[in-house]
Amino acid sequence: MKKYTKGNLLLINDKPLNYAMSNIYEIGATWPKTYDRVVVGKNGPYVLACFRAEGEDKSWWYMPHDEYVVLVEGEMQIDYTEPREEIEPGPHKAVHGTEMGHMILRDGSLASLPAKVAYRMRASRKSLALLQTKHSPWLTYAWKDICITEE
Amino acid sequence: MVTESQHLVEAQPANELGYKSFRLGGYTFERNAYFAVVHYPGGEYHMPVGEFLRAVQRDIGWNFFYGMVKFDQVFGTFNFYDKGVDMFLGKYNDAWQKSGKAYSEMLPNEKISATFKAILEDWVPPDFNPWAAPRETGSPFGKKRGGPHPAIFRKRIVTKTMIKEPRTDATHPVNEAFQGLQGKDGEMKIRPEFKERFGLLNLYDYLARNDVTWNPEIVSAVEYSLFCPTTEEYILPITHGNDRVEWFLLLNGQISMEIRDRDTGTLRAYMHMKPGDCCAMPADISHNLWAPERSMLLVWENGNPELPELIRLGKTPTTPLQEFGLS
Repeated sequence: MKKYTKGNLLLINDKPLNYAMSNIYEIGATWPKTYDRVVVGKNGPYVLACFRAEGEDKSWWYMPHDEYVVLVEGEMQIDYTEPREEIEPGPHKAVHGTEMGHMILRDGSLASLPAKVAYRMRASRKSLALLQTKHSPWLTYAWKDICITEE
Repeated sequence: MVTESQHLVEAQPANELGYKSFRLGGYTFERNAYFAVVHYPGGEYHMPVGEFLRAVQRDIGWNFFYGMVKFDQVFGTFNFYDKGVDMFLGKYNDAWQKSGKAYSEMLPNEKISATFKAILEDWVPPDFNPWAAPRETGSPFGKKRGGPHPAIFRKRIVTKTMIKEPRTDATHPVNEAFQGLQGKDGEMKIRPEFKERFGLLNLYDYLARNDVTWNPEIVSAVEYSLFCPTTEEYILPITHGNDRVEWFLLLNGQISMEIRDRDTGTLRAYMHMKPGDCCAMPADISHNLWAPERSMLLVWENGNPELPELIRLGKTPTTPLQEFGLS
């Protein structure tokens, strides 16, 4: 995130937004909010989002479906808890249940975020993560801010 | 040897260079020292044999993939899944269409697959690996000198959850181009009774040890959402024509792209990707990629089998931002 170069488009007969071209390092370096899940790809109900991890995410997350996270750079810990009973999907201030353990992700780690397991992320230094998930109300869509809109 | 499907293959005696020819519906494929020759009811069409073999390898390696696989701007296949695979010449090329010379034939997946596998077994020399980058392998040219290279039997890696087993030096040494580029190991501190439900893999290390180029393989899946990272070097041996939106995210290296209208081959755009760049490929284009250095590309697919029909009916957008009113 400290140093990145963006690519470019040369359009012969097309529109730039057809390619929805963004750069996750730029988003990680410049996005004002940490842990804000900025959508960089959407295909039907499925979403690819990135976020800058720094400090502790204020939320525990719980989803009815599997998710996966790639730590593109940095170091991030994920704590996992299985709730005592099923809870609403989305962010929670706290989750009570069985502590399942944690993982420490470093450059290139691909880790599972299993369905119906609550998780919380924390990063001791600025890190960049990529999330394979599904559309939900807790994502940030900002195409015009992140995409190349002209050559 | 693909013994279980041998009955689907119509091989003909070897020529003076030692290569058999193969009939497939109205097509006959033959090779000489430098070229593959496709005979069809309208005439014959020639392609450099190295390019042809690399393209055949990808086409059957991916089971004809999503949509169109063009071997060049003229010849290729279009996957219609349960209905079969359409093999075409000029059908998606503006000049061929206008001349009325285009030809195509729908073939059962099993038959075309068996024939392409038999072609690889007979035509690939023992020192030519069609999965490899040019600097890593020998020549596809000349008369038959044994074979085939064992890499043609490699199976595509897939998963319905995530790949959990790392690659090791014993089976997958780090590619020369990625020496020093591996990721850093993470740590799994999950209680033993829960470990089976979790996975942790170093994707950079996994890809640094990849033994093929231009071969998206699934590492993680959320239902039909498929992460298919791949390592790229030199030129994608086919041009992929999409039947759905596809996404790319470049993890490292650099990739350039030539984007054309899928159905006519007319040029639409060029793209130059740097690390961290994420982009969509609309459902009505074809793209060819070039990588001047070995690069890690995350290909992200939606494998929903209903998508081509939904796009045809206008129920799913052709470009990803259409649903946001941006296109």
